[in-house]
Amino acid sequence: MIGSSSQHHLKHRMMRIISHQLLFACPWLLTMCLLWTYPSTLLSAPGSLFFSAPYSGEKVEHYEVTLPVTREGQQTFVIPADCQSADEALAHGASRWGNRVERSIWRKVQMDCRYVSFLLTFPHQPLHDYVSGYDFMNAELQDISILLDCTDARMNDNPNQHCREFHALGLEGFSFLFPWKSGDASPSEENTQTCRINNGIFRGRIIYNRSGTHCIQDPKAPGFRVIAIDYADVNGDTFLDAILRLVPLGIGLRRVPIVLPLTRKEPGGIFTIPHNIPGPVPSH
Amino acid sequence: MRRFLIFCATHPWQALLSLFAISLLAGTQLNQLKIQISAEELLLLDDPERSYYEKISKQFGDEQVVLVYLEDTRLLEEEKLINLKEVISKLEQLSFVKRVESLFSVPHLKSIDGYLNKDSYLFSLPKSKEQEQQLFTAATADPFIKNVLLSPNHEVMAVAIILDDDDASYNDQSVTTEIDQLIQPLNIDYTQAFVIGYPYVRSAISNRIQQEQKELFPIATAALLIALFLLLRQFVDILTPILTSGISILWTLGLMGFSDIPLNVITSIVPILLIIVGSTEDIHLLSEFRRAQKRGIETQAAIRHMSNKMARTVLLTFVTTYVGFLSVGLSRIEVLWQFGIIASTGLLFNYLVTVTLIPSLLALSGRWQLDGKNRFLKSSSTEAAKLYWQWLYRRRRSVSVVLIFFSVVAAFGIPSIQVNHNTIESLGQNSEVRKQVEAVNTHLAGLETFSIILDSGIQDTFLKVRYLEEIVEIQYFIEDQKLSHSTTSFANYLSKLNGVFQEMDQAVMPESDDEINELMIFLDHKHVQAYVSDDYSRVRILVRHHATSSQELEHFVNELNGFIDQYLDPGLEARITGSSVLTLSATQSMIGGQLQSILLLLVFFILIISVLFTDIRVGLLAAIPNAFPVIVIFGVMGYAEVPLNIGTAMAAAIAIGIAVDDTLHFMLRYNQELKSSRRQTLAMHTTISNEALPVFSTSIALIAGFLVFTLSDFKPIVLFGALSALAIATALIADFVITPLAISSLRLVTLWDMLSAHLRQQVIPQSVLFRDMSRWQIRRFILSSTVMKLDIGQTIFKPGDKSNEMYLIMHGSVEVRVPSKEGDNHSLVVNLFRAGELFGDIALLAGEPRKTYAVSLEPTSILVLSQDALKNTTFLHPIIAGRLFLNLATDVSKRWVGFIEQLSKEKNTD
Repeated sequence: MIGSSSQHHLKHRMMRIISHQLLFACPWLLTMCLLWTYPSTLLSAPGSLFFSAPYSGEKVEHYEVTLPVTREGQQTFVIPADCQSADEALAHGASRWGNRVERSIWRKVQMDCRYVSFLLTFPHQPLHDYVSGYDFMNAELQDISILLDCTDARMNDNPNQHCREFHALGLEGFSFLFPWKSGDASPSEENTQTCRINNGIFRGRIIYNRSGTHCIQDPKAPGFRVIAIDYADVNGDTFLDAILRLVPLGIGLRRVPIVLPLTRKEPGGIFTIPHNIPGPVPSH
Repeated sequence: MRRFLIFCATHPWQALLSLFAISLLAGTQLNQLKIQISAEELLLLDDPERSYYEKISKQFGDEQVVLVYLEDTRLLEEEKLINLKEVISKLEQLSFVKRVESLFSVPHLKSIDGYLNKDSYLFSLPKSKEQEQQLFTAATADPFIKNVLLSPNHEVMAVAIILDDDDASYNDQSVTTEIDQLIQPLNIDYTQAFVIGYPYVRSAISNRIQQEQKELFPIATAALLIALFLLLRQFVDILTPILTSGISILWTLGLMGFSDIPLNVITSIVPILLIIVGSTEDIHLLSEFRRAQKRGIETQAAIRHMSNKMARTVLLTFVTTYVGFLSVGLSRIEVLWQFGIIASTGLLFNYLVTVTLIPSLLALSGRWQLDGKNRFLKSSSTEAAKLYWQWLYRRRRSVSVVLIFFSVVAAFGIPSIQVNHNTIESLGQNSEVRKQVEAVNTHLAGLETFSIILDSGIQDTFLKVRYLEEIVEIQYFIEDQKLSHSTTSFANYLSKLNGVFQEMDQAVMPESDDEINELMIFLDHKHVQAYVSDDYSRVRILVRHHATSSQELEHFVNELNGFIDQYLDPGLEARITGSSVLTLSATQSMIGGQLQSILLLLVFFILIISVLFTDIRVGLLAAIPNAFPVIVIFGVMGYAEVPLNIGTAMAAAIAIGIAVDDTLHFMLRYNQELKSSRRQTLAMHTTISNEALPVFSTSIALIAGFLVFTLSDFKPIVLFGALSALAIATALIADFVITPLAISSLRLVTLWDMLSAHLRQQVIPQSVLFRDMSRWQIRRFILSSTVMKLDIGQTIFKPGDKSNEMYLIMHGSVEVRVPSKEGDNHSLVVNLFRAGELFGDIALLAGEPRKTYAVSLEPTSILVLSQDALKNTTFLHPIIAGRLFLNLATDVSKRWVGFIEQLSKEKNTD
């Protein structure tokens, strides 16, 4: 019996140790499980970000560019590694030097570095995530604030608030992506559908009327393509934000990707632009 | 020159040894001789447009391209493409290949997940017909592919091999051989597979030249031999022209080797030309020698006779022909400059060889003759000449009317002449290369290119939509007018890039300057450096075309210039440049230059004849028989729609240079005959008779020789030969119809006849006739008279002769006697006249028959003053005539006074 009792005791002790160990390890496992479910880009180093290389337009993880920083001087930057020095050069008015093309490339560097800064400014793990489960590649336009326009008061109860956020993005809104819109048109039912991104692309005309917002899909109409979705807390409010990079598509539209951070504070809510996002580096 | 001919005759071995030594020297240079065809040699030298083109080529690049042409109904079958890829990779390894452009290398710009993808069209091979079709559709929508590397019907594909200009180690032969070897396997896969490009065209031309040298040279020699055999039938006389031509060709080729002047399409005809043209002076010299020999004169004396009669004439005719050929060298086009220099120097060599070899050979072998038994034209020819001249003179008005009618009819055809040069067509109907070029021109945009350069001089101009639209407008115009199947520009590239970024299935022109700025972020200048300068102030529109004829291209360029002048933004400067445009302007300049040469040659001929015969009218009249062939040639060209090109324009210039020789021979002979014959008619008979054989022989030899060129495969050379033969045939008619009629009314006196030192120093100051007259007035009068040379005891006139002439003794003395009933031995000497004195004036002034004898007491030269000459002087130069008549009256009065004094003295004596 003694033998069996000591064996039982031993088993019990081992179970306790294991259970303690398990209990001790659980939060870590939970954390690991949670982190596992996070989008990979959030966890990965900046090296896994992608950019369009200047001059070639090809998809690259980093690119090297030599730009004028003074009337005579030039400096080579590797983006994103040298974003800090690029921002400093911009702050010193480097973007006013060089020819048209070089000035355009400065703008691209500025946008790319801003994108990187959104991802890296607050590296801590956010506590709340109501964004990563959303399929932005097939998002309804109404969900992602993209139909809002600082200049279009009809669509916005509190235009000033949105305008502030747009200005922080360096934009007036997104109406330039949908240059054709009319509240008077009355499209037939078969031609209209919900305004939605399809596999990362939206091309169509948006109709506003009393019955709501409708879209006519048109592959030749202006629109945009979502080229990247990243996740980070861009303003340090402990809520995870989605950072969308969109390239405008369509005649007359500029090509440099637009960075659109979106957040929501509750599941199933409407995405809005996060408050108090850091403004772009002032350039002269 | 006369002395040189005699020296060679007296020292034949030394002369022959000299020729042999120089020939040996020339022979050592033959291995340096090159055959070289290049586009540059057809361009104008020192042309500002050429400098501009070179500048543009340096900026935008102008590469030598060779196309691999592949034709098949299933171009994109996987297996074929695998083989093609292997061939391309081998081609890329060739040392002279800079790069190879094909559907395997040209990027198919795509947007993949929002990023630009530049994988080539054939980065992954199509696996199905559907994929093939998709690829075709995408590729033919790309202006950099459509009609350049792929035909719109998807049945012809091209691979462009860009040659390394910096690699001097290769030549056309090595390029064509190595590439041909590598593409051999493609012949199995494709219905038609060949390589074409300028190295191939040049190589074909070069091979043809070598081939034609082998074929035409013996034929030209044979033609000349046959012509000479039929006409001369003298072994030495037949052999000599061939020998002189052969030696001069050797010297000329030696010079070409020494001076690095290559054999090309134009200079390659020089040897054959020397055979043909070089024989003419030989025939004239030999004819004169044989004529003297026939009269029983021994060899050395016959050579002296030949030298006396022909040295000056041959020199003059050489000078005119030399100038004719040299005038071609005045061209600013390298190839014509080379031709002019080489052909004229070749003629100079031929002249030197002729005047050295002929007297030397004749001195050694001149006695070997066939006594003229088999001559084509025999001694009875004088009678035939007389009959011919009588017939011609009698019908001179009808003949003139007929000739004028023909000339007018021909002249009406001249405006129909089209200026047109077609390099490809010149290769001949059966040329494989020509067929290949035509295949490229039919299915693709063509081998030829030119550039339209738009320049603002302001940085970033072409990053603005407004100015890009100017480019597009020009391209639309070219497309609308169907002038070209392919134009490419910076606007095309930008539109293509924009279309890709907009994810459209077609190129889209950016609409705003900002949009362009954005696009420029993703555009590497090296991809568009062929189209835009690095400061974006200058752009090039590259126009590929298949206008192989200069006429077609000229129309194209004119249309384009018209559009540009009318619609281009005034802030932009536009210039059209390119090798094909430069060749066009060079062709036009070349043709203009040749026409100028013809005119210059005629003017030169008029001048030389005017100076030689000291009368501008003689020069003008002598130009008629030489202008006639030119009018006929151009008239025939107009009616027969033969275009004016390098070959045909050159034909007229060279033909004139040769044709004037016969006119000169004719006139100088007439001049010589006039000296020994007071009757112009008799002089004309003898001239026609004596000149018939050499002029006819040389003309026939020339015609036969030029007709050999019609066997060539090069169309310009065929036309050159045919028209030159026509020119010589027409010149032959002109020389025996127009020349005699034109000069029969003239008293030809050469410059050296009149301006001899003897005349100047002794006769003029002594002569009472020219008292108080200036040298110019004296010369004017003397030029309208005839000089006669008299032997001792030669009777100038006798009692009863009707005459309207008086005489001025220039050299020697003349005795005038009154006849005696007891015979000539008892005739009374009336007067003795010496140099500078006049006699025989009664017949002229009183119109009475001669009452006395006039006999030369020593070898004497007299100036014949005819009534016609005095009338002409009265009409044309009244002041001179007034002074002459006053001097004449004074002289007659003095002689009367002398006569009366003598009578008084005799009466007093009695």
